[in-house]
Amino acid sequence: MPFVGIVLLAIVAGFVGAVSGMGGGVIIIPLLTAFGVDIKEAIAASALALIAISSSATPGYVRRHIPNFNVSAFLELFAVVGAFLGAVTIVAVGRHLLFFLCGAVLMASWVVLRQRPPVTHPPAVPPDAFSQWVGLDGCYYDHAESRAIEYAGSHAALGGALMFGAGLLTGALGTGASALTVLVHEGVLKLPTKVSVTTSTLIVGLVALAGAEVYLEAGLLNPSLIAPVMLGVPVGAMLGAKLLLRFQSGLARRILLSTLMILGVEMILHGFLSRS
Amino acid sequence: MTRDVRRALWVASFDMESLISLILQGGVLLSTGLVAASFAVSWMLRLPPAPSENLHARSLTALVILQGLPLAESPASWPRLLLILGVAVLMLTPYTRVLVTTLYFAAVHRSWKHLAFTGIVLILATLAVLTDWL
Repeated sequence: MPFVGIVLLAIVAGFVGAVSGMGGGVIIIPLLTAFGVDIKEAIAASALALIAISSSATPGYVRRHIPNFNVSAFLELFAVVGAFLGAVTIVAVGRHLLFFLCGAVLMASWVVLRQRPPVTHPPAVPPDAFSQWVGLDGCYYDHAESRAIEYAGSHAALGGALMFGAGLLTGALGTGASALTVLVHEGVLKLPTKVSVTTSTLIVGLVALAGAEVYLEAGLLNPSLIAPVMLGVPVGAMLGAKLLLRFQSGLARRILLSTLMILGVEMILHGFLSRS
Repeated sequence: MTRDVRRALWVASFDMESLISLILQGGVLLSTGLVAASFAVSWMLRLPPAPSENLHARSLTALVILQGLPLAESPASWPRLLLILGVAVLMLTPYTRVLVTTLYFAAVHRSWKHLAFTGIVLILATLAVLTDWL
């Protein structure tokens, strides 16, 4: 596939990811493999793309004091270990299995996004003793609502265990499993949507680093893929973030739902075809 | 001014968020710039837009020092050198963020449990990224 073609694909992937709010590049693996790129090299390129996206998207949130560093410090511990194991597994398993796995994760992301309300402030749940000890509480100023939002996360132990699994999948599939880390923050730890999305974005950069290191050792970082992806994804994510303000969130959501469904089905079919 | 008051003033004025924003934004901009420079040098030297051989090393340190730096001698290898540096800067960006967070929990926030969490992550990341022990 030509260099310029991959740059354009990476711009589209970054754009769709930013508009959807699920982290640029959620679709980069299926887009690359649809054009004949080896799935393991696509996953490795996607891990580097995820570091670039995390590092580009997070500063704006951090300056507004939205991510919770106590939460990220605790969850990274589990996610990073999971990511190392996930990446090592991916290097060892067969390619057709990876298509099924990617397809399943895209479908799971579709379900998560379809059922998730646009923005939530979960009802206050009395935090358990361990969550209080970890310090999952915090406060941020919500500019859209013009008020300070106080929150206290709960279920830290379960959240840590699930983040091991989310790290495993993110390390294994690069950007493919970003939505699941948000689900752990929001659905299990009961953190507000904005804190969940931004803290998750911060964490996945480090999780992707664990994966990228394993792919470097396995010789899966293909310069003719990673160079255009590293150039294109930040551009697409930046454009998407700017246009997001003009987009209706319902339209952005429908675009992503359709994209996830099409690519999920395509990946699973690809798995069947590559097996036969 | 007592030592405790000086420390309280320093803690109050320490802006960790701005420092982390600067590290993340600077890292991704520098890395994108290096990859763009790699592409530009390839174009000027009439080489393919990206080096052909996959990056393969036991650690990031080995990639940069053992494979990258010797490439500086030959202009035809500069695109690969710039790409290696771009990848290294990108990978070191979240690593540096964890390093700074660990120092913050140790020196400013003085939260020993969070220092333990980030410290373990930092040790794992150091072993994996900078050495080949993991």
